[in-house]
Amino acid sequence: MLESPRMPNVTELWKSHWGRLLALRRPEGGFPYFENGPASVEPTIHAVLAGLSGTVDPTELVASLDWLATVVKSDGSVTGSPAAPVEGAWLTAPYALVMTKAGRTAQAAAALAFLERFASITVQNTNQSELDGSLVGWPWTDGAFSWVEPTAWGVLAFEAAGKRDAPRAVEGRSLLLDRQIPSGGWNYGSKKSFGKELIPFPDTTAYALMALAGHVPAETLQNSIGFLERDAEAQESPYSLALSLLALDLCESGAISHIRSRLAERFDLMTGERLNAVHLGLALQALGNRRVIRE
Amino acid sequence: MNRRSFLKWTLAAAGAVGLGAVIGRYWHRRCRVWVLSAPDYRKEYAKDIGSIMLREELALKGKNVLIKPNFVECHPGRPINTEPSLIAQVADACFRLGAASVTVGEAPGHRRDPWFSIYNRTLREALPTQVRCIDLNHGELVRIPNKGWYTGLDAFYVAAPLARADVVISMPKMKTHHWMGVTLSMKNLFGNLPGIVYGWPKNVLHFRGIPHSIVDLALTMPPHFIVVDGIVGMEGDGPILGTPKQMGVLVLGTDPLAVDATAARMMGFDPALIPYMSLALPHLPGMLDDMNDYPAEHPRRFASTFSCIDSFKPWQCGNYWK
Repeated sequence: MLESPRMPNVTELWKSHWGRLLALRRPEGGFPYFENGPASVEPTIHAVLAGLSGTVDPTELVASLDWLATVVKSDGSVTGSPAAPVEGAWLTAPYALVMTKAGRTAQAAAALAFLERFASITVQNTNQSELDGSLVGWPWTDGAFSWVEPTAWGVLAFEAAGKRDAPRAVEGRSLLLDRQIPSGGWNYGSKKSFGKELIPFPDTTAYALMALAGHVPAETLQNSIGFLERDAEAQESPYSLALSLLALDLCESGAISHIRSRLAERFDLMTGERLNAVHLGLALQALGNRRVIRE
Repeated sequence: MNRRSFLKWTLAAAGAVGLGAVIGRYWHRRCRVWVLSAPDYRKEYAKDIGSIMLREELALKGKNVLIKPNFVECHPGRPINTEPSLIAQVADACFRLGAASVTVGEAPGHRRDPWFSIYNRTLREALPTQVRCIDLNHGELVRIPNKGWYTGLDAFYVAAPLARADVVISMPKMKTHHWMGVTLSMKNLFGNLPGIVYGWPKNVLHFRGIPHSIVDLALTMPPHFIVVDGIVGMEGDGPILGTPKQMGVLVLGTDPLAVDATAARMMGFDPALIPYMSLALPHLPGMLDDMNDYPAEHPRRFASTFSCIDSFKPWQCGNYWK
């Protein structure tokens, strides 16, 4: 592997933690959330994305991509786990994205066709939440309302497939903008509750910024970028730091060098019951030498 | 909740209470609810809690225990979560009674990032090293057929460590809730369900009806024992944005509705007007105060009135026992 231009001196760190991630892989090719658990869709997606970000030998990823192809349903969707065949269809968006990035175009196209149909319900606008309930985004599961993370993934999946101007992607971006907390950042999907502004979260803010960066005037996102930069100063969570780094890198923030160092110091927190393969996969993506979720 | 649904629920609750009162009086068994004076978090409660577990014949010897607190996000100064030192005392009581293992697990609906909740340093540092803290939002899933029918869901999915635990101890925080009036042991069951299936928040349960979901969950996966942290509760715009309410009490028992109805009365609410309690009344014992026994303190000693958002003020009854 070449020295990472995005993060000098982390190549050895990256390699060693990539090895830790690979050690979690199940014999059938998928990755579990936690050590010795069953192969699951989300950790497998993030492991493959991590591999793509680090320019590992593509043959190392084939078994995992093949396993992902075995859990896809006839309608092109995937769910959280083969054990839960109905709920959790939100994962179809990151699945579409990883299949696009891995060049598995037939599976990506089927997943995107599902995402065209998979839509959140709408609700009447009320003064209570001050959001536009008529906008359609993506829900976590069928028959539910739209939320920031699944909508951001939907937008990113269409963008990865070169369909950034698809009507669903455009509406998804409008929805995300509508849900932005005026003072900066995003909560899960609402900006106010009973008249009070909600607290922004780093993970949802990072996903929304990844979906919106470059598509809306920069000043529209300044408060949210500022929130993420400030939050990262004291952030302990490697998961939130990884997502913040991925988003702020896209937003060309001046804070990313410092955040990279803080994240690199926190890899060792992800051990034992706190070693979630999604978190490790995201941290590797954040320190990898190539942008993958959005280039 | 808008005015129409509020009126609908009030009428439904009144009807259910009328029918349920008859059912409850002649059909349901009596329940015991243990109310302990607990002035602050520094005192030792493990022995008393262990004694009550024994009196309730909670068999822990050689068992794998999962403690399910309400631990959803950390904000200094806000009593959102079950107090870590109290969780540690319950874990201690379990070990004293011979538990083989004790795990603390939570699937917060407010935060996907477990470093804000179950991995949080304040919790980890309060617990003995042999107690594991696990994230129930992610990981292996187990399907459990729904024993209720209100949601129309065939089954619920839970994380494997919860499904495989021999004994589950629910440790809710005594709080107001801006959708349900109060949140106690039965609402705490939402935190059994993994976000990877139900999302953040668990919106599908909201659309199926929060009271319906609570009752189906209570019928499907009732905890074996409950310890409500009412030492410092939350009033006002709970369960996140409210303010501390000093109560100085623990409420314990094995019957979720009995514990919740008693705690709700102590908070100044009429349980008959709380939708999930009135819906549960025909199914679970413990709703009627005169069918409950209070072998320790009587709850009237701690009767108070929690401030709440305007919508729920009509559900409050002042001091129930005056």
